[in-house]
Amino acid sequence: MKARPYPQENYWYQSIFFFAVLIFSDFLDCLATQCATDEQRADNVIDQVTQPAQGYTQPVKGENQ
Amino acid sequence: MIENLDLGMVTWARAQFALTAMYHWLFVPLTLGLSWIIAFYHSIYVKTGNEEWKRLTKFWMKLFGVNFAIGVATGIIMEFEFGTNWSNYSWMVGDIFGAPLAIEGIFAFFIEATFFSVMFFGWNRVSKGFHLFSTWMVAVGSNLSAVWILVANAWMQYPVGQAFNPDNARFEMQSFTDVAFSPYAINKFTHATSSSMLMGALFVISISSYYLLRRRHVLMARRSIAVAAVIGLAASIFTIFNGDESAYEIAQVQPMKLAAFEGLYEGETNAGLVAFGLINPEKKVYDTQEPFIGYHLKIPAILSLMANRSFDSFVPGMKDLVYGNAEHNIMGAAQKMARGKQAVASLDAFRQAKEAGDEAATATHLAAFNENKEFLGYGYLDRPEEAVPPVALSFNAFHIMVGLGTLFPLIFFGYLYYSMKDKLEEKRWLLGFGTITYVLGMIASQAGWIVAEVGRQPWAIQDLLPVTIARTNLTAGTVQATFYMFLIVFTLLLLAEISIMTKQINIGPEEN
Repeated sequence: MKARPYPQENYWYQSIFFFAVLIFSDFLDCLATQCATDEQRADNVIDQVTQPAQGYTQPVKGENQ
Repeated sequence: MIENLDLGMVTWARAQFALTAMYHWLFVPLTLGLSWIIAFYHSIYVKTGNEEWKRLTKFWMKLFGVNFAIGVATGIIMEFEFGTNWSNYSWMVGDIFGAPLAIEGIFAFFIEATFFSVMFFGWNRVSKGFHLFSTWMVAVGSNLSAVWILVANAWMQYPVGQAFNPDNARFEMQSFTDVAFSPYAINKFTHATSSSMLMGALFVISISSYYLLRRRHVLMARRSIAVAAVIGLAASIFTIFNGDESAYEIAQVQPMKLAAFEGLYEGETNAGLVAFGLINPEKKVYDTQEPFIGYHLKIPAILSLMANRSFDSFVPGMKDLVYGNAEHNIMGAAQKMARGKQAVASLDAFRQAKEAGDEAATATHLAAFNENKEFLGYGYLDRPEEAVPPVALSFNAFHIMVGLGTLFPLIFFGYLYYSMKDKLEEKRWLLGFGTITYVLGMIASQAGWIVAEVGRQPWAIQDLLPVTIARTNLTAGTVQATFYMFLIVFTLLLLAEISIMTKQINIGPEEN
């Protein structure tokens, strides 16, 4: 018996649909939405990367070497 | 165990990226590897003019096309996730990470897409020569686009050719060639592409074995296997050699990762490679529990050979790397943390002095930062033990990958031997085993990425940026919601792929 041709087009449409859902659902660049300019973005990130330094006292050179 | 997990934002963001990457990697190795095998089939058709080879080529192309489309969909999502969940990381490394990803986009969308359409729709529409050229270009384009993704990943493991700019908190590229041609990147590329070729060969062997067991499309299956077994055997042997080279590279730049692979807590001279063993998941770097449960077998001195190319060399264990080892001149994570905290404090002081317009203080703090910047990432750790990756997962994934990787050349050799003897169809045990070899290949391949990515924790960029700082300032709930959404959508995509593939395999190649 000859195999029945398979209607693969339906699956292509499904794949494209899933892809569209993913693209338009929740892909925001969070930093870009919170800050308008590159300077603000840099400040925002520097704030976070220097946060552990708050309350930190610089040791005397050689103390922890 | 699950109640002990910290299900904070970082954990969910990592889980989401791992989910996307692992689903993506279900499709990618097949695209990379099968493209070469199809190019060989197509070349044999053009050389011989035999219509059976054309029929065979078209059949494997059809399966390749299904896989390619879904692979692209999952891959693009990963790039978006950098912006949503890892926006600090994106900001900090955009100058370096952006270049390889942009080049990847150009290769992926221009070379692959252009020649992909000619490969599929060019039968009897373009000359045979140009059509064959297009098939080869799809293979070249796919693998070239993989180069740039792997360059970007290798840079995270071994961040060369960069300098940190304290004015804007960005890692800026100093040397493109250092980034693109780092030994880590070259090893990663050769290992990923040769193992993908192996995966392509396993895919052909699995489906062809199924046909032979069912006594369907026998001539096509035999011919497919003959070519795939040769390519698979060569690729599997090459994968073992470049895997060994990767281990050497890891020992040089990520010794903690290698120690975790092997459950090596105490450093050893003549260190042995664990051939068999059950790792103790409760063991911590600071306690005295045994690293293994029950009996474990080590092959003497092989780990020393892998790590340093010398049987009697010292391989540092996790304790040496956490607490230091003066005898072997190893600085521990505890000492690095002190330097890292100085770097973070100097960065903060530099910023404040700059805002105050104090040029002398700015220069002083910048000099202090530069003195300690190579340990910057350690400044964000709270305890030195945080520098240890999840040992049990790294160990198990590494040994699954290596164990299966050792088995594959034997499988390909068996197929090649019995094909040459023309006795393959009599060896139904081999064909039965052959049908599941693609699943084994996929397990090994996924384990390989677990080895690479879990083994480098806690770092997003080795020694410079931990994942806790690389993240976006989001709530865990937000990431958790999208995690489940992706889980559902990716599972549906995978089911769609399996369904299409299964039906195409049942239909088989077009009749003459």
